[in-house]
Amino acid sequence: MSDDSDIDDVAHQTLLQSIHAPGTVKKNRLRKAAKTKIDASSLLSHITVSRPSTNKARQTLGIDDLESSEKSTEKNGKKRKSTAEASDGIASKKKLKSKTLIPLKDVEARKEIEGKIAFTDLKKEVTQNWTELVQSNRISDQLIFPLTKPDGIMWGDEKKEPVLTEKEMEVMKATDIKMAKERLSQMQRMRAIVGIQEAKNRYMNKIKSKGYHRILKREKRKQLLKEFDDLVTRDPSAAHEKLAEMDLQRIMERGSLKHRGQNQKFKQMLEKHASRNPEVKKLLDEHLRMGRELKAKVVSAADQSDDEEGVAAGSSQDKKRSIHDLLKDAAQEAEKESKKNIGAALLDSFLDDSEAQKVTLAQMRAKKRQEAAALRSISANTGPPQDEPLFDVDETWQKEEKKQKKQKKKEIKTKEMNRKGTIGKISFVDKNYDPKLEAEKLETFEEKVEKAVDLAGVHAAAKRQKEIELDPSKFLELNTNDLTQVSADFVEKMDQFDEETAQVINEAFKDDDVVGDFEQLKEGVKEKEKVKDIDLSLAGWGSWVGPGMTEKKRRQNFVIKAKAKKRRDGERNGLIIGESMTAKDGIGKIQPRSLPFPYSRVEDYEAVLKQPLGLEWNMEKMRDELCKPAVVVEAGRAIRPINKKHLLGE
Amino acid sequence: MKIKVISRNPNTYQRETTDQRNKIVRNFNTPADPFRAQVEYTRALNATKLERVFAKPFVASLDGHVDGVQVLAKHPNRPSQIYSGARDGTVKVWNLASRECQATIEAHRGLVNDISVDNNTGDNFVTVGQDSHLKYWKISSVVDGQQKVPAHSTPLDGIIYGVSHLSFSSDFVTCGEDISVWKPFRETPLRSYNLGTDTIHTCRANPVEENVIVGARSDRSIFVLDTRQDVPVKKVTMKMRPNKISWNPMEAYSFTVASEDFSLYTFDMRYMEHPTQSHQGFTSAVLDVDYSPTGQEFVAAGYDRSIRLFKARDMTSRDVYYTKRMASVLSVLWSADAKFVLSGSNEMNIRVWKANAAEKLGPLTKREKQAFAYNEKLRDTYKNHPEVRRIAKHRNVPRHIFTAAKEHKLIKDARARRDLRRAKAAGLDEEDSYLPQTQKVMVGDAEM
Repeated sequence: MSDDSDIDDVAHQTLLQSIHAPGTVKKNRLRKAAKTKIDASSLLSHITVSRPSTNKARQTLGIDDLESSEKSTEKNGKKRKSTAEASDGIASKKKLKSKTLIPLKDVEARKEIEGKIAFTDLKKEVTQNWTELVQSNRISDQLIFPLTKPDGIMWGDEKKEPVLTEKEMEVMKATDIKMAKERLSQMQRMRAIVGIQEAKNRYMNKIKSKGYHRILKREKRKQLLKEFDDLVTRDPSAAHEKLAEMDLQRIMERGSLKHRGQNQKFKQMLEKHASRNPEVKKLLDEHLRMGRELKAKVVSAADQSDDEEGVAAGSSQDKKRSIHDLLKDAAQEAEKESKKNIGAALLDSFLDDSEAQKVTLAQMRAKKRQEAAALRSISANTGPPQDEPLFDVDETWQKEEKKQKKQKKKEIKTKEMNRKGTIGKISFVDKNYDPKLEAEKLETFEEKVEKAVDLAGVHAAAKRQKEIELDPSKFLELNTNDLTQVSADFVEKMDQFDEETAQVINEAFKDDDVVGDFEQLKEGVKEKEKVKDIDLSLAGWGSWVGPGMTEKKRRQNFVIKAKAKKRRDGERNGLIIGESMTAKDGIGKIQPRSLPFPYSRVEDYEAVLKQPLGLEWNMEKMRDELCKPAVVVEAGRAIRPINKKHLLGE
Repeated sequence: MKIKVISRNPNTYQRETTDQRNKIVRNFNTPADPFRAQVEYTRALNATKLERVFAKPFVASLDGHVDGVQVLAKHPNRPSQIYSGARDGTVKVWNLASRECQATIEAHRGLVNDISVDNNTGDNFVTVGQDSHLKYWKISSVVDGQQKVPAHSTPLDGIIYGVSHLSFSSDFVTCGEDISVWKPFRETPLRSYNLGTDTIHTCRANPVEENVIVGARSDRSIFVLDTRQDVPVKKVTMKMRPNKISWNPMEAYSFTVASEDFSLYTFDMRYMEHPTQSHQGFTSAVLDVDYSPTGQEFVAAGYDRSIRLFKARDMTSRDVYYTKRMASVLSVLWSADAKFVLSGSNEMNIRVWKANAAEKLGPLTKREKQAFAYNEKLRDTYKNHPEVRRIAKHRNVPRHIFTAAKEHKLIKDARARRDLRRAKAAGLDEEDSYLPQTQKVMVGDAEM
């Protein structure tokens, strides 16, 4: 009722207005229509489903409060309707909606708001569902397609059993994994058995042991005999034949000389050469004959000597004899060949008794040593021995001391005690050390040792030790003394060494003039990088100036002279600093000029480049891990998009 | 200057083996190899050169159409099955493995506007044509049974320009005067959305989120639709017409738009105010785009008679394919196993290309695989070195593309200079006035 009265009131007022100012009605209406504000609450009123986003939208638009306030006003204001009626815009809109069609613009606006809300919903949903996955995929090292879930179900596939044709079923049957495995294991077993047997046979054939073969032969013979015995009882004629056969076999074998041990090498040689080349064959035969002769037992000489000697007794006599004989034979041969004194002496010695032998042997040894010493001394005189070490650490002295021990044990003991006390343990080889002298004057050895020890400062050390005991302040002095002694010689040797290496290097680079080449190169670079004058002269330009202008002058007017630039390498030898090298044609050609996109620090990028990738610097597995492709796809296998239902478990 | 060095040939001191693999003696505490970096850099350089040497992307040409190939589609489960629709209304089904045409159907009068294959069972496909017909075809009967009549045909009162199946579903959406959601074999759509008077010339259903559809209208706007809602949820307008749209199958919210302004733009569905990335390189309008099923790359077809392959988040193209006789490319497709790319062009041919131009096809031995992986890794590691980059990026392109690219660069630079001068005159400094390409391509603010 009140509503009706309201409308009436409004209509009445407008009517009154129109009566008062008839020209303005239309205008007013138009203005009103243009100004009409669409109320958000009315637009959202049809959305019955309460969603968080809707509520949020309501809140942001401030409708929530309005509505609630509206409700409250409705509740409270029932009593004071009449007072609020005219001014309350909300109420009037409500009535408008109920009575008339909503203007098209309102519909559009409502759609817009609805769309906004739906979009925020959609945005939220999509973000929630996919952001994490997408981000992780974007930064992952490797993506493998088609996508599979952990349980092996393809994301794209539907859970359907594939329908197989009969042929496919047959193939499937044929490739039944269980049966195939069984068959495979059986075959493997068989192969293993065969292999083992083969290996055994091969091994048996390769056995070289004579004992084994002897046993084998004996067994075979026994077997044969057994068979033969059997045959004798059963079938005598056959046995006879068998016997004949066996005999024939034996004869054949003996005749062919197959039983003789011919080694592999001999056979090969025979095959290779002897069969073709008669000369080689002859040579081989000769060789064989010689070998046989050598192998044959030496009967006569040994017997004779046995008879002659016969004195020496004892259990080890036989052994001694044999060695003795051999030596004698060798000696005799030597005498025949070269008729040397040594040979004669040796022969004599063996003919004489053992004491005499020993004497002669000692003599010989001494002689030999002398010769060797002489040789060594010659080599020492001609030049420093290459292989000789620069320093002998105690060795020489130890040897000599051993010899001395027998004669002057006590003295040496004390000396050694002293030496233990010394600091500079290193001794160097005496240049005056003469092995020849040593060999000749064995008696003076002691003195020499004394001298050498003195030279090495052993005695001095001992003396000083005593002094130190008295006055500890001299300890330092001793130290320095020792060092200077060492360094002087050491430096000499080092110089020698340097000269040698320099010589070697010089020899290696004999034919190239490195310095000259470099200088030439530098000149070339200088010439190339010289700043050039700019010639701007053009034909005819400047020629009209008048008398006194020569061609040369005219040219000079148009030449911009280059400023002489000081080179950075200057007059320094052995150095070229390229001036024309810009970033583009120098190192810039192979070095990145800026930090590439994903990196924010140079260190990170360098670290990536420093990681070796090749097999030379990595194990194979590591290489594979480093070089795994970013995207893996299987040819002929369809890749389907991510299946939301499978992924989100809906 | 001469430097004498000692070098040894491994053959002189290593013993001969049958497979030429020598035992590697290893010291587990090796000092760092001083020449390691040099050796690997050289190898990377060589690998890059070899990659260019072996880059022969063209595989085959599927010919049989007698008019320009307007649309290409793939089967979701069968990687070898390809569908192509021509401007004369024929639809052909191809077997990619044998490069044979399995079926030819006179599907429509006038050109075939779009083809889409069922995403649930994969049993049938839908074609729409300029003759205002929507036709269902059963794949088995078309391919094997030689039955050339549709399983179902629906005449409509307006031309349908695009059709796309919802993700893992037999339902599909069509676009034309409005957007409609259909269930298969029904005479009327399930739901229709009227977006205004402008024609909707393309629409694509999200391959991951089953309710989301994105489309483009002839007023140069792109809209997002949620099939659970009564109204479209988002609409933005570009300066130039978006020709085709393709969703990234691995990222539920990003899609790429092939634009008339020689570029492609990747949008994030959630933040549509401006694209997240622009993809440049074409010298003419981009007519079609299709994502690789891996979601890492996409291929685009240009009116400039070339196709370009882009990495999904790169600005410049990874590769460009063209042949002498290829006319403007109307449609492209990335095969379902991500190994091949197909292009249908105006001169009636469908061309098959390798997705990676230098890839060796067929089965590989383990050592080959390892060698390829090593080379690839080297190329990737040293790709920012100037020499390597120069070789890897260099492409010989036809003269018309080369000159057009040069000209476009000139224009672009001139515009940039002009903008800078204007900004300076207005009292702005360089950094403030700079706007990336992605922010220049939209008109006004986003609506809805």
